[in-house]
Amino acid sequence: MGMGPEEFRRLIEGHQRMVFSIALRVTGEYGVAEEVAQDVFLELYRGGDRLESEDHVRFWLRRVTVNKATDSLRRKARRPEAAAEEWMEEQHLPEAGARMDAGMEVRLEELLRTLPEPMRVAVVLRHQEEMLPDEIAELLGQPVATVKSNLQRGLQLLRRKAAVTMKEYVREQA
Amino acid sequence: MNRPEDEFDEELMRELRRVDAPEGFAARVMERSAVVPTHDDKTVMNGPPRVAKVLAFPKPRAWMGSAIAAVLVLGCFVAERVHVERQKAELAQQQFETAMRVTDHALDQTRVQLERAGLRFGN
Repeated sequence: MGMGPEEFRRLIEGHQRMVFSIALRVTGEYGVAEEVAQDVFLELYRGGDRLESEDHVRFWLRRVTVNKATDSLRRKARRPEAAAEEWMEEQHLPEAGARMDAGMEVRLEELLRTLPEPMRVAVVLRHQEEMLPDEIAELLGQPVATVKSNLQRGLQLLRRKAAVTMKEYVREQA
Repeated sequence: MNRPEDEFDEELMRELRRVDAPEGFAARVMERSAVVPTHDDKTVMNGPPRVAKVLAFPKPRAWMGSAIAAVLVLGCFVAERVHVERQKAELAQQQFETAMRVTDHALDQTRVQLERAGLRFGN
């Protein structure tokens, strides 16, 4: 027997920002993110009356959202992994003391979409959801070392891309 | 004093704040839920988060069922063809042997007749 509509509505309103935001940052597309988010809540509706606590609900929602969002990414066959390796090898190191707000807005959220899926998921869960690496590891069913590696490499890649973007902007302004 | 990496992390956290769901999102989900049947007990969500793994298992890909079914059908078809071919071979062998017996018998008859006519053949 599923949950009642009032309880379901309460859960949607209480968690829609979290679910939609995870879906958006992982898929990178607004429309796809809404589809994913709707599917997550419908799956909750089908069997969520067995979840025991708010923490359990939150854990379950994050996990299912990540799974559905990454499934969506894979169906679209977006593969930035190859380009990521190139970025890691090139000498795109930020200058010492360089700040991000050198007269421009470096849209980190846009650069996030260029990260390979495992790094993107780790960064979103760490920096959007403020989860610790061991919590992320439990959610994803991965070793903690893997999560930490994806976080470290993801952040490094983001910094390099942001630095290049800033340099190009400064060059254009000159 | 903050390191550049710390400032970057802080900037990232600011940019990655949660955003609002699209307007009317909850209403759309409620509409869809009105036509969705709820499972009785097919979906397992029991236990503390660390053991609630069933829903997190990756679902078997939809194509795997079709692929397995196709392999089974192909296997049955091949087995059937092998059986049919074997039966054909056996039948052909029987027909050959029958033909050989008929031929041998006919040759024997011919030999007898020729011998009666006074002609003899080697052993």
